[in-house]
Amino acid sequence: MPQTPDQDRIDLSLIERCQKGHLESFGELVARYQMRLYNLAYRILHSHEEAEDVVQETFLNVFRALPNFKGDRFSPWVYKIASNLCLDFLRRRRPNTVSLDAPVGEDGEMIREIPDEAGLPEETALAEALGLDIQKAIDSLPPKYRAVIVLRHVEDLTYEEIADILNLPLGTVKTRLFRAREMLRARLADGGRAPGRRRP
Amino acid sequence: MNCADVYEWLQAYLDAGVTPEQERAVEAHIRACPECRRRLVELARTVNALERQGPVAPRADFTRRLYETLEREAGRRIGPGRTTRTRG
Repeated sequence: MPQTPDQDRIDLSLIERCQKGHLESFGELVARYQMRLYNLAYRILHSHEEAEDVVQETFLNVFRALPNFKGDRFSPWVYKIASNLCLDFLRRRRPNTVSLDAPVGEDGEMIREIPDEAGLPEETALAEALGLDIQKAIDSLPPKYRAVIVLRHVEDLTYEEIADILNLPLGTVKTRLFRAREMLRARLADGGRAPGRRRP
Repeated sequence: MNCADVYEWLQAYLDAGVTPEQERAVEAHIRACPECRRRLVELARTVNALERQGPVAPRADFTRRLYETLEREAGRRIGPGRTTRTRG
């Protein structure tokens, strides 16, 4: 859900209390954000174990940096930490998925065709048997597109908030979002099969 | 206005990110173009499927383990958050 100015004020007041040594306020910040960050990480990574690691690592980073926090909003900062960790996890996970003839996107990024089975061989048969699976379609997106699509449609953030979180120009956010939706649309319209794997 | 010209507005239309003038242009175009109408419907279904997913429940004990890790880092209990552990 989008963050309201009131929620931002509550966050800042909790941070101020943490900075004065009231650690119970940190516990409240964790309680306010843990499930939102968990969902973000799970939808990008499709792994409970990695989502847990991302949430834990995010709050450890927040705790260590909190004494020096001077921002006017907590939410974009914590989303930025979590999103970057998710992208790090994806980068570490798949070293060999770029094919030599992968096309190049309009923002210069390689468009990768991720194998259906990437990291999840045991799930393939089940997912195919279940047919349409939006999470599996998300999994087929290149990492940078995944982050944008999840921030927009799972977290319901605006273009501007996503640009701030991912440190991207607004135009790049729109380009990636539109491309991601187009890839998902094509995949879902094709019955969930990967592009280029259409059966006769 | 052809399909390529309208495509970006069609996408922005899904986010209510168009001006009233662009909105009118998109709507006029999709009335006249079955291909773009189909594409818009499929894109809207895609967005709907994404937004319908709902929250995912973590594994049992996730919150307890999270607070334990953070409390080890902090060197002491971190307070009221402990009482809000409803999922583990």
